[in-house]
Amino acid sequence: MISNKISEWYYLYNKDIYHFLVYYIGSSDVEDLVQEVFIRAIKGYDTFQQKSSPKTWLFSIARHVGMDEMRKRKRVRMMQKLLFWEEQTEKETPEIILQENENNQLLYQAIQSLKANYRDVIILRGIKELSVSETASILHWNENKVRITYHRALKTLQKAKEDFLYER
Amino acid sequence: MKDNEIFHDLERNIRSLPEPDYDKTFTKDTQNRIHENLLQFASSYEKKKKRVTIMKRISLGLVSVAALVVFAILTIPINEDRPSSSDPNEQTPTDETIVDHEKEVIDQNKDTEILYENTEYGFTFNLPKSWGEYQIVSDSWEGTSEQNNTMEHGPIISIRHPQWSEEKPRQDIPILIFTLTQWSSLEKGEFHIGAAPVGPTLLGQNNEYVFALPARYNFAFLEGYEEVETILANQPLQPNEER
Repeated sequence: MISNKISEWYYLYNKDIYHFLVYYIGSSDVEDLVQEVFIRAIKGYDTFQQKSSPKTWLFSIARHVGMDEMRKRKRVRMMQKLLFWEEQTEKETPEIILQENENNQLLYQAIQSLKANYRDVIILRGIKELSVSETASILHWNENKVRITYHRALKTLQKAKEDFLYER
Repeated sequence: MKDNEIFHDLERNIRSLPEPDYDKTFTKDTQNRIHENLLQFASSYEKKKKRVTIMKRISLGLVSVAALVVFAILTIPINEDRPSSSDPNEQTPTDETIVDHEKEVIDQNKDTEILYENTEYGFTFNLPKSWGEYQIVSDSWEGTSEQNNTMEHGPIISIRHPQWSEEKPRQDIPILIFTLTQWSSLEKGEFHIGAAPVGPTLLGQNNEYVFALPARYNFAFLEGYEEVETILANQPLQPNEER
């Protein structure tokens, strides 16, 4: 029963989840995280409420997996700095995915510099093009908060982009 | 440029950020490998979940049984203690003793399955089973006046225990039979039976006769007198009213 459902959802949403995690983490090496998202979905299948959409439920899990991974990577970087280890560089960063398009790279850097809730709403609403109600469901916000935060995030992003441009 | 236009441009730019090249970074093989891993995990997770559910049910069952045993251990001794807690020697004449006595009477009644019927004078007499082959002995009584003149006489019907013998006599159940007039005279003291200062005890009466137990009938304390006392305590004589 669980296997069938998870199998169906996996083939429907695995690329969406992968896409989201690449921009959320800032790395293309997120296959394990995609697997982790669906493993958590299997474990929490009983808590899934049929009235909500599996897509938003899976995105919500993916966001938590992403946050955990960011914390983990932050800890590793701290350890590396403390022990004077050489920092491991990503095999393939989103910068490469961005096909060396300078404008896109600038925009990506600006997004990464935003505070967490602005980044969440920009990735979900902007990059993944989810609706206001879907975004509200994933972030557990009301729709009005999504609209306001998205508007503020765009404003901040524009400023950040200009700052990065000025720095160059 | 107006703010809205700037934001629309920015939104367009954001939406134009490229998707990853799935054929390179997230190939079909990788997707299938993850899918297989997920199916394996789901299968083992479901089995584990079933095991946990069964274990939970077993634990719940064991806890219920344990609770039942504890409950039984706690309650049964309390119930058993009740009768033994009171020493029969310390019993005061309470309702319980009355009930016990009543039970004894009822038990005695259960044992009285023999019915002696006297059609001549019109009465029946309940006897215990052990009196099965009883004998009826007929005799007579004599009533004397104050001047010692024989004034009245009548029959005595004695029910005799089957184990009665000349060598070892047992207590009889003697029944004095009076006419209504004789009984009235006896009660008025116009005559008396024997030397006893008290008169016979009334057992019952019908339209023609009065049945009574002689005073001090058991003065000799023959074997079985206690049994006769118990029989008489249960009002064994029933007069036939239809006479």
